[in-house]
Parts: sequence; C-alpha cells; structure tokens
Amino acid sequence: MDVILNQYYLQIAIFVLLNAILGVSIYLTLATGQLSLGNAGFMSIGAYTCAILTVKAGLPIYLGIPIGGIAASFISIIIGFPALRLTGIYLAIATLGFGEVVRVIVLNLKVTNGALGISGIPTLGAKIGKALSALGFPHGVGGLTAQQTSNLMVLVVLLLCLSFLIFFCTRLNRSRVGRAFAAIKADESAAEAMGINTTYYKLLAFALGALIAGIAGGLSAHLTFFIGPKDFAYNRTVEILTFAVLGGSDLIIGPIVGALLLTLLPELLRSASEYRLMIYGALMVAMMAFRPQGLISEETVRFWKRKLGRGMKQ
Amino acid sequence: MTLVLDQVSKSFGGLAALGNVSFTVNGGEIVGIIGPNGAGKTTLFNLITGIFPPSSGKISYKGKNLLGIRPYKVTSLGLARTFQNIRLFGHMSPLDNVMVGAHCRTKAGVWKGLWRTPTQRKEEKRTRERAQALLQLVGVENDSDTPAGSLPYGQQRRLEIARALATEPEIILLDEPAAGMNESETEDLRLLIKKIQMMGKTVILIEHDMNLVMNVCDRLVVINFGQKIAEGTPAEIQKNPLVIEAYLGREEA
Amino acid sequence: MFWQQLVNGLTLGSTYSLVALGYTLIMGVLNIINMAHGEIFMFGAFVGLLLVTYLKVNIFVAMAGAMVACALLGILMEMLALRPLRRRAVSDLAPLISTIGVSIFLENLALKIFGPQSQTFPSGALSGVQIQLGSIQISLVQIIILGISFGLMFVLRFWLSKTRVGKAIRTTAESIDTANLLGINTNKIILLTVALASGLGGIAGVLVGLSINAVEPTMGLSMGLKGLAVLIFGGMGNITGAMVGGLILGIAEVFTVAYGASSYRDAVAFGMIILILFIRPQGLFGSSTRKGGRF
Repeated sequence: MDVILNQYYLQIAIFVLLNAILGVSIYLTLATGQLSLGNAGFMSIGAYTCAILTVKAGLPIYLGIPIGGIAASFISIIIGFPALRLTGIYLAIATLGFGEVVRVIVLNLKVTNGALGISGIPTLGAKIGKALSALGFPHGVGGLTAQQTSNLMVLVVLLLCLSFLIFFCTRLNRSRVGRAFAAIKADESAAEAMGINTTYYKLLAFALGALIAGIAGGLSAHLTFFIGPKDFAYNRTVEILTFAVLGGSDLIIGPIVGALLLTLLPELLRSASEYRLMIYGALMVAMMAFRPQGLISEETVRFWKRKLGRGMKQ
Repeated sequence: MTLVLDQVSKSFGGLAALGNVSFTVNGGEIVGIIGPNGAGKTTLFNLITGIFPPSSGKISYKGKNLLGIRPYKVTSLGLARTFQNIRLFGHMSPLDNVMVGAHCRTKAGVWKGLWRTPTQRKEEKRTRERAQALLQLVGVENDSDTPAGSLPYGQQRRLEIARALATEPEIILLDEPAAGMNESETEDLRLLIKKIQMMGKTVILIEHDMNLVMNVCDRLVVINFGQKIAEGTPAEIQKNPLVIEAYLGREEA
Repeated sequence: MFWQQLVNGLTLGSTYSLVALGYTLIMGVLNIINMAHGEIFMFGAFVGLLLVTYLKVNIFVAMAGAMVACALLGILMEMLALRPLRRRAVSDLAPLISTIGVSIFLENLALKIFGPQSQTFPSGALSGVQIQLGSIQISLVQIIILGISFGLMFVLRFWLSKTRVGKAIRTTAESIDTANLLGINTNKIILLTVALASGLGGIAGVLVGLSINAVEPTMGLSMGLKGLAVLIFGGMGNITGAMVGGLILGIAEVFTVAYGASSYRDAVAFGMIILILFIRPQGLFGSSTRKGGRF
C-alpha cells in the first residue's frame, strides 16, 4: 500500500487530473471549431483571483475557486464578443495577445505581487488535513499517515471535478446545445442558415472553456503553495493545446488521454523531459500532417465498437 | 403577398450579379426561378436568407423588412433553405442533422440539458419524433452508424430538405434539389414538393430540370444575366420569345 | 520632445511593418497565419549576431546572411509543416496548429543552442554615432533601420506589381486554382513567397537586435505578437495595411512609454487588436467582402 501511495505517485496523479481538467477546457472551445490560445491567461485570472481572495481576504477555498472561474469567464466574454463575430483565426490571435496582456498586468500590479508572485497559499492538502484532525483523525485514516490521507483526499476532489466535467460534456453533447456546437464545428454558415445564432453559441463555448480554465487555475494555486506570472506563460497554453492535438478533440476522452500521456511520459522518460517542449512542437507538426483528428476520433470508437462487438459474438 | 422583392440589385466588387429584380411570392404557391448557369439565381437566395445584403432595393416578408437581419433570424421568421452544393453536417447522423433544424423552435439551454429536466426531456422527445417523421416523409433511413456525409447523393439532397422543414418554415427555398438525380428519383422529388405544398407551405425552387419545373410550379420567374426577363405560368413562359432566346441563343440569320 | 519621440516611434514602427509584411505575404498567398514567423525572426537575429561576433563581417553582410538562413528555414517549414496539410482537406485550424508547433520547436531549440540569457552585438558592430538635426537626435542605427525598412517595403511593392514573378504571386494570392489553370507552378510560387517572407523576417531580426542591442530566444514571441496585431489592425493580407499599421503601433508604443505607462508598453498591441475588432473588424485597409488577401 505504501508503495503505491507514495508521495511522488500521488503528486503525479494530481497533476494528471489537473491537466485533464485543462484538456476539457480547450475541448469545449474546440467543440465549436474555435481555437483559444488564452487558456493560460484564463488560468492565470482564476488562480490570482482565487489566491488573492483566500490569502488576502480570508475567503474559504470552496468559494474562492468558483469566483476565480467566474472572473475568467466574465473576461472571456469581453474578449470573445468582438473576435467571435469573425472567422476562427481572429479568436486565436486575440486570445494569444490577451494571454500576454494578462502576464504584463500581473507583472505590474501590486496586488499580484509582480514578478515575485504570491506565496503562502494554503494548500488544499493542508486544509483537508486540518479538517480531518478536527473531525478526530489527526493521524490519518485506516493505517495511512495524515499526509497520505490528505493527498488522497485531494485526489478524490480532483477526480470528482473531472468526473463532473465528463458528465457535463456528455450530457451537453446529447442535447440541443451540443448539437448546435457540433453543427457550427461542421459548417458554420450552414448552421447559421438553419437558425442557430452562431455568435452566441461560439461565445458560450468559449466562456465555458474559460470558466473551466479559471477553475483549474484556482485549483492549481491551492495545490502548489505558490503562483507566479511564469506559471501561466504562453508555453502553458501550448501544452494544453497539445493535449487536444495528440488525444483528439472530437470526443471528450481525447484531450483527457492526451493529458494523461503527456503528463506521464516526461516522468517515465526523465532524460527526454529536458526536450519536452521541443517534442511537443514536433508532435504538433507530425499530428497535423498525419493524423489531424488526433489519436482518438469518432471513427476510432466506431471501429473498436464493431471489432469488439464481433469478438463478443464469437 | 408573402415575400416581396423590390428593385433588388447586388454587385460584387463592381461586377453586377443582379440588377433591379422585383417579384412577389404568394402564400401556398410553388414558384420556380429558372435561368442559365451564372444568371444570379443562387445570389437571389443568398440575399433573401440574409447571407449578404443587397447593394440596393428592398426585401420584405409579411410586411417585415428583411434587410440587415442575420440569417439565423431570417430562418426563425419562417424562411428556410437548402444549398446547391449540399451542406449537411457530414459527421452527424441523419437524425441529428434534422434535429439541428429544430433548433430555433426549441428552447432548452445548458442548464436544462445538463439536468435533463422534465420539460427538456419532453421537448427532446418531441423533437426526435418530429425529426423521425420528417425523415420518413423525405424517405431517408436513419442509421446512426452511417453519418450523413456517407449517404448516397440523392438521399443527401432529400435529407437537406428534411432539415430545412424541421425549422418549421412558411417558405422553403430549394436550390437545385434535383441536381444529380435520376428520373425516378426526380419523380419522387416532384411528389415530395407537392406534399410540402399540401402541408400549407410556400416553395421557391431553383432548378435546371425543365420537366420538373414545368410540372410542379405554379409560376416561374426567369433570370438571365442578373435581370428578370420574364414571369408567368409555365405555359406562358414556354411561349415567351425572350426566354427561348436566352436558352437557345439568338438565331443567326 | 514630440518630434524626437515621433522619429523613435517611426524607427520602431518600421521594424514592426517589416515583420508584419512577412505575415501579410504568407496570409495573402496561402490564406494562413504563420505562427512561427516570430521565431524565424529570432533566428535571423541570432544568425546576424553570430556572423558579426565570430566571422567579424560587416553588418550588411550579416543581414544578407540572416536573410539567406531564414529563407532556407522558411523553405524547410513549408516543406515539412505546410505542404503535407495542403494535400488533404483539413480544417482552417490545422496550419495554425502546425505552425504553432514549429514556433515552439524553434524557440526551445534556440534556448538549447544559445541559452536563455540575452546576448549583445560586439561594441564595434556599429559606431554609436549620433546626428543632430535641429532638436532631433538620430543615431546611425536608426538611420540604417529606417533606410532599409522603407527601402525594402518600396522595392517589394514595386516588385509585386511590376515584375513577372510578382504578378504570378498576386495571381496565386487571388486563387490558387486559377493560378494553376494559368500554368503557374503554384508550389514554386508558394515556396518563393514563404522564403521571401522569412528572409524579410531575418533582416528585421538583425535590425531589431541592433537597435535594442539584445538578442534572446524569447524575442520571437513578443515580436510575433506585434506583427500579428499589425496584421489584424491593417487588414489581413493587405500590404499597405501592414506598413501603415506597423508605423502606428510603433508610434503608439513610444508615446505610451514617453507619457508614463512604460510598463504597459507590451499591452498596446493587444489594445489595438480589440479596438479594431470593435470598430472596424476587417482592419484599417481590409475589405469587408473578401476573406483572403489582396495586394
């Protein structure tokens, strides 16, 4: 038990889940065929809003995180409205510029503490540990140490978040809104001609993506004790984009698998982790050339269903 | 008079595509728009459905000015169209394609879709049933394993009509629905168009298949080089010398 | 003071114009945004720096060297990252993502080769001569930047409108299919355009490296962003738009710094994007009916 639950593995599992949540954030925007390059910026808004609220204003974490997400999504609407009336390229550029502006503002504001960042953020693990000892389990539960228990609880919290998001997206896909998203992705002007307010739905998908990125930002702030402007630079956006490019963005499972693979690989191949971003870059070029739909697409699922279905019958 | 076009012109970068075209369409009619390739027929559809605005002139529907109204709103006002170059949502199932058409007549948003509230489920059920009925009407089988883009050509054309009908239009604009169809398919299409008329809908039809046009339309508008050159019943049009000239060319003496 | 700032703004702006021209050329012909253009620009700056530092060549030779190196880099990118996508119908986003991949690859390659720290040109590269014109002080570097940028822009304009190859590029920009029908070897024209755009980016890299006397791997991203802002501001695929837009951005930045908000200098470009999207989404010189570019 101790081998599996060691600190290092738990930490990796936590980052896999956080990255999977970020993968969902870019998936939602891509669901209408729009590319947002501002996810790191929205993460940053969520993280800073949440950290400032909990550290400086003493708000509880469970309020700080959603408020951070809402702040990110509110700002996304301001950026998205002018850009989304035009073709997809405009949103990509406007959000890319936006990410840089957030970085500049965070560097200059007093409340964000400039380049030094905010430290001493109460971690989710510590809070849960405290709650556990208040409940009468100061030494952990069921033979686990206090730290293992609280880390495990963090893992459970993240897993619940991700499960809810998967539930949300599956429900959404099989509803009127999801069909509108898919129609816009397939053919925007035909969708408009069929009575869909394309600007509204593109903005909705973009704002939902920003909301989730903002929430992920808030979570990350309370996982790492410290946040600084460098945590949310352009590289972070590219990393999130690579999850969707590798895994595929047709289905919700795609970017989640992408996040899993790309978070685990550098841990497994320590020597390659130095070249991580170069590999990401080459991967993006190769995927676009050979498999633009990503590893998992609707056809992949159809193929395996048929194959497994036949296997069952035999 | 349901749809009124008054002196409508459109030019692209100085090139006139349509010049001062006027005609009206009455409720319940089947009106054919014919003319040689490149005459500006599809441009006319694009103007009516708000894809782009006319350079000058007025278009109104039931007394309401359609200028400057975005395409999705035109559709919810009751005008739906199909496309000359089929534009289905290729990866989606036939049923989903038709259900997208019902978008502007349904309401459930993100919240209701997430929790599947009773109203949402009722709405979804009704939408699905209506879509299935429309698929049956046009004669397209829904097979969830065959995406719309993989259907045979004739079926895709009919699926587009079902999708347009799902928007519950009063006027349906069909852009060359018989293109690429064989004779028996075209005959089925003629019956379908008649059925649509009997459902109380108005049909505007762009078509090259003269047999179909002459058989199904109540009235024809002929366009050549962006100008309306004739208007009348099929019998009148067949005798009109200007129309004969446009199609056959001037007899060289 | 005002006139001095204006000259500084024009100098800075002319480098933005040069970078934006690279985006514009590729946008016009291929109808895609080359997200790696900033990193190609950064490589140009490094090639120039290395040539001046180690081979002790004069600055104009270094610019020519940077131009050739970047043109080759551009050709490599076209063959590896863009051409494979044209063979099959893919979404608009594919070339965007592919070139983002190239950009992140190049930036991190540069970090590996050159290290993260900023490097400077050797002190003798260009004498710090200052010329006094009334109340305005202008340095030799500024004069060279202004001269070369404006020179290149006008040569390019002339070349596109008057020469055979230039006309072939413009036809390809109108429609690749039509150009094919007319017997133009469009693959060759595309290669030429990408090489030309990248070469211009390389020269701009050396000029900017000289003027701020700092060359670093991350300079590509910030410059790339400004070029993109100019592209949107001036109108996608419009050469006049790129030239005028670049100058406006340069002047706006210099005045932002001069009047106190120096730390927000890098936010000006983004402000311009949002402003233009609200009031004139097709850009200053863009036409509203066409999606693609027109020279």
